[in-house]
Amino acid sequence: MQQVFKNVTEIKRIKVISGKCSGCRLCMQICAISHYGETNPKKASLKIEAHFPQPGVYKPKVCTQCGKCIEVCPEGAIYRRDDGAYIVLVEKCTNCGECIPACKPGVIFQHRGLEHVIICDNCFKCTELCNTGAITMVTRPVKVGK
Amino acid sequence: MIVYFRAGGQLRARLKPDVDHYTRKVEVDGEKTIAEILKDISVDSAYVALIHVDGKMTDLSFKPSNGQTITLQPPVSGG
Amino acid sequence: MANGFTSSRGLAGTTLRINLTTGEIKRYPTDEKLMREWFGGRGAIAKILYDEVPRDADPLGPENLFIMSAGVMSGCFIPSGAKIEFGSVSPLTNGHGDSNMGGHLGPTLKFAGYDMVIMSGISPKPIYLFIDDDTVELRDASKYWGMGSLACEPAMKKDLGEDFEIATIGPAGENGIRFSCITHDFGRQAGRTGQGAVMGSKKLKAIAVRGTRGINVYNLNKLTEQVTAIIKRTQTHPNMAPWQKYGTAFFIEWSNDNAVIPTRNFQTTYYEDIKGISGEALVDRCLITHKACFGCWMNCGKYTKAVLPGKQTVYLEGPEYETGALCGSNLGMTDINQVAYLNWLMDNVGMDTMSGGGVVAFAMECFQRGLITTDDLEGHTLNWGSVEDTEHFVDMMVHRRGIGEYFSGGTKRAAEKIGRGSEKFAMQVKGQEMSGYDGRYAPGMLLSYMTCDIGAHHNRSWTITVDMAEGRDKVEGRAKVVVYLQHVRPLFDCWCICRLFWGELDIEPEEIVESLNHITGWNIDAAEAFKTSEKIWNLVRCHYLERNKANGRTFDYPPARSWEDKIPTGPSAGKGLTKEQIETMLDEYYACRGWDSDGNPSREVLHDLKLDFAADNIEKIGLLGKPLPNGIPAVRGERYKPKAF
Repeated sequence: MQQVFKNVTEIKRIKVISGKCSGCRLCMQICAISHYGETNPKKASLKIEAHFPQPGVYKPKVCTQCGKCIEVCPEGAIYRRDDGAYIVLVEKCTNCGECIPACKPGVIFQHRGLEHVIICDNCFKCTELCNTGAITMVTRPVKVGK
Repeated sequence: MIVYFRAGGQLRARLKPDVDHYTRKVEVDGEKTIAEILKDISVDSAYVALIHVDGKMTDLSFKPSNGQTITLQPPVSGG
Repeated sequence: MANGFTSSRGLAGTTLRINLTTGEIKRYPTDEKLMREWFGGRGAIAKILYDEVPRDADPLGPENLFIMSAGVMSGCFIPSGAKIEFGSVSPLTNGHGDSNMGGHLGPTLKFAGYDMVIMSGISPKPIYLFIDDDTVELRDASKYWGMGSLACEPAMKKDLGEDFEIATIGPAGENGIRFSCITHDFGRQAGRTGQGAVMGSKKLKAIAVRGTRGINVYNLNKLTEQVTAIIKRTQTHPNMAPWQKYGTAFFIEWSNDNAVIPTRNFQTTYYEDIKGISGEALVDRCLITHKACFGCWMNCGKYTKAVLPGKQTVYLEGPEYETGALCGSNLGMTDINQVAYLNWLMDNVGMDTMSGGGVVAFAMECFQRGLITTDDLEGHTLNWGSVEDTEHFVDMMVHRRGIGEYFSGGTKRAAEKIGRGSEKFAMQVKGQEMSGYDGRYAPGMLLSYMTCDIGAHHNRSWTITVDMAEGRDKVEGRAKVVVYLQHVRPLFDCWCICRLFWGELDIEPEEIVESLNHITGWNIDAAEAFKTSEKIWNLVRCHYLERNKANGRTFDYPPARSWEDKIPTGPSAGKGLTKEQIETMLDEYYACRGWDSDGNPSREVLHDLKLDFAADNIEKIGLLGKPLPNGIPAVRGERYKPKAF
């Protein structure tokens, strides 16, 4: 008989289908606009790798929620929210950058105009605008302990 | 049978959409080609540069089935 | 703050002036009045060129300026806000020249903090312009000099960093081929008017930019709201999916069906082998990736590979419509891989594929008619449909060997050397080769070519469906549509957004102006936008007259094939215009513009556009238009709405 847990939540993350990405960077634009109020791809929390001239494809790189950043952060400045997002506690982050080499997809960023690192916070505005389906929001229910 | 035509840009006014901003519903008697249907609804096919049905390019000789949507694309004003 | 200047209202804040001879780099706040009154991009370029380049300056000499301007809208959250505009006095047309490209360079220039870069002089050695936020340097380019554009870009990205945006010229630009282009993002070009040759004359091999700043706009909330709504609306637009799949190549077959596709140097307008070079052929046989510019999801770029027996497999972006026509049917090619290969070839040597296709086609017809022989071609032939012959001839032009020297100046100069009646089929106006539409049975299109400021280009005005709707045998009434389009379409080149997105998806000019106002806070309306565009048009005309020192009408004629040769084959066989009809169209056009019958702007219209200084200048050389008997028309150009029936 399946045990019933008291709490169930949804993990949300961005799913990438690279073959569909056309490199338009709308995702990066809306990310920076909605978090920092300016068009500035260098303040986005995802990136598009362009592999040209060969093979001639774009590969979006997004947070995979692997958790390595929390493991290495010396300040305890990152916490994992119930929906799976890794949130930077701006007041605790010293911008030391230790998390950056630990991030396998390379999607933790620093910017000289900011005093903290940038990590995706699961707002999904990028997936709302993506026209090709290269990035979409996917969810899975997760049973939480009683 | 019923088919739907969708068009934008320069073709939209010619199509006279009635379902939404871009779509016109057309009742078709019997089996007809797109060319014949367009003639029946007075849309000059000379302004149609590309025809798409179910994600595939087709041409004026295509005979649509009931419920299909035919997208008509005008030429670009210079490319 | 960029260099001490604040980004605001769509502008990055700083303009650079660089003297390439001395290496001096000056920074100053972007002139907001210039941007407001001349709209940035093409408009600001037109004003600066008019004010600062001496009228007898050699376009390939030190006194010509080379300007790049990212415009007020590029880089903002605006669909297709991707463009950058290049401008200089054109070595092809000897008048104002401008050309734009998409990709990512325009936005990145602004993210680095710069709206415009104005370059003068000639560098003593090959250099590239390096911009990394506050750092602006002229760096040694000797290791890149001689490289093809498509080879140079990855080499520079490897040296500098993948996040640098790079624009380069190829050996064609380095060697002063007058129709050389600038290439960026592995396949976007600023193709027309020979901007690559101007860069080459200044020993400027490339531009490399990285930027980390943001752009602030006047009202971000309203802009985001409006743009998000436009995004949602256009996602389901009927044109979107086919567009995303085929790009502009989709209507190659349509052009053929309607008998406007240039075939074998515009000898006829219907091509029997169209299926092999169509948009469908491109997608089925060559496509790798749908490729977009910054902020645009039409993804009209088609990144492809060309596979030909005996040739290396090459990777390129294209061919889009123009290259598909001008290097396809116009050269007698039958296989899309051939067209793609030639597209790659010309992109890599750094030659505009439109003028390149036109020049090769002209040479092929000269060969066909025996005006040039294998002796002139180093023992080679120059036959229709031959990739080998084309490749060899392109090499002769790029390295200016033998008759390659004549053709490297474009079809007009080549015809002057070849003579023997070849001027008739040098398919150019004012020195620039025609776009991929034959105008003999599309009178508005022919008028568009005749009166375009930069020669026979369709960017300013394209009227083939108007011609079809109004009657292809009729010339009356075309002028006002052409004038209207010549005011609307160049606005995109001023604001540095893409006409293809904004013009093809049922977005009205008023909506674009609304976005402009949310970005800049200028609070203008569409009428003011069109008037400013008309002002730019007239200034450019005056500049042309002052440099070329003859009545404007002298330069507004198409080649004689346009009226002497009726279309020989295809659906429009037997059709064509007469010389009288061409004269009628010009008369109507000038009347519509408030110019006199010699094609010279009148003082009345120049005064109305606040161009009295230009009126004084052309008056001094005897080219001010005569007073108009009925005064200037109140409205110049009429918005055309397609007939519904």
